[in-house]
Amino acid sequence: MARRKRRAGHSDLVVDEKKALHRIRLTINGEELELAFSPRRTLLEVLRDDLDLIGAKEGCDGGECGACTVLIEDRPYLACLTLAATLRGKRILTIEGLAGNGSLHPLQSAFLTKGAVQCGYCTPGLILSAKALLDRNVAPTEEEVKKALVGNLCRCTGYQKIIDAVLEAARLLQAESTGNR
Amino acid sequence: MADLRVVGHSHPRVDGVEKVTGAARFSTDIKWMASHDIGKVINPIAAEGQIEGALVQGVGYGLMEDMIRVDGRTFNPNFLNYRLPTVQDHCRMGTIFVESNDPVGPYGAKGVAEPALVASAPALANAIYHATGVRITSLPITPQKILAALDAKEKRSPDGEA
Repeated sequence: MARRKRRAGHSDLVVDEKKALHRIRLTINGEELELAFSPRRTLLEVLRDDLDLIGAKEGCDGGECGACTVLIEDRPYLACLTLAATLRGKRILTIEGLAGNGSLHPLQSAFLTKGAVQCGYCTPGLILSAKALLDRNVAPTEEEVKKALVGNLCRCTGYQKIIDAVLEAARLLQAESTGNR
Repeated sequence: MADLRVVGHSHPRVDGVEKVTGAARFSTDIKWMASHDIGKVINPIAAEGQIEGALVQGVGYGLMEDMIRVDGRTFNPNFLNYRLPTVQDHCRMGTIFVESNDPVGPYGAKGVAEPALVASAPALANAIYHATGVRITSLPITPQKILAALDAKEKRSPDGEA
């Protein structure tokens, strides 16, 4: 039901919620969706609260930790700082969309075999940041891996096994692509 | 003594400090080794991960993490001002397990996680002493402290190398 807008402090501002909803079409994990949400909401809120895609984590909610990293058009973005309303027609990938046809992405299997996961809170963001790197650089050096992952904080692993896992995934992906030829 | 855990930490090789910022630079070709008695090693990869994680937490505890309180309030309650080690602060690490059998623990194992953290800050302090010749005795050993100590040393002996 529509309520009259009152002139008051920000917290007291009441608007017509139905009219104020923002409607956009976008693609999330290969599925085209039409969503309606309040324009002030972040992509992270829409993913986690509306779509139940809870792979992207809310760590600091301020763009400092990288736990909410998702890929928008193959580039890593912080979902906690991205207004969902800005994503009309965009293609978004979260960790839920990475494994395909019942098999893990090479990054995911490398993270498992190398022991790069401890508590797991940073893992979705790290894997997606690493995927963005491997998409544009098939054979990164250790320095390039570090540069790509610098925005993702991890408190448990000490980063060594994460770096090893990303380098291993690069090898797996290269072996895959040469095997297919 | 059944409870002795830390067998030894080598210190990471610090090649030197940045002249302008005072930031310590880790050597890229010498590993930081940590040797621990954690009883029976049940899952080697997970155990290595625990030690490596503790060493990098030690980089934070030794070099950057500083919770500043003003009138009882935390002044830097975020990751921008309370610096955690990022992947750029990682240096190559290695682990050596000295296996023993702890009759009290499950299958002879001891706990592992924080014990590895204990020796890391002193190891870093030694590394910085070896690289720069200045001994810093309070944690964290921030670039500002290193620069101030180097300046003080230079004033004491103007001819000597800083």
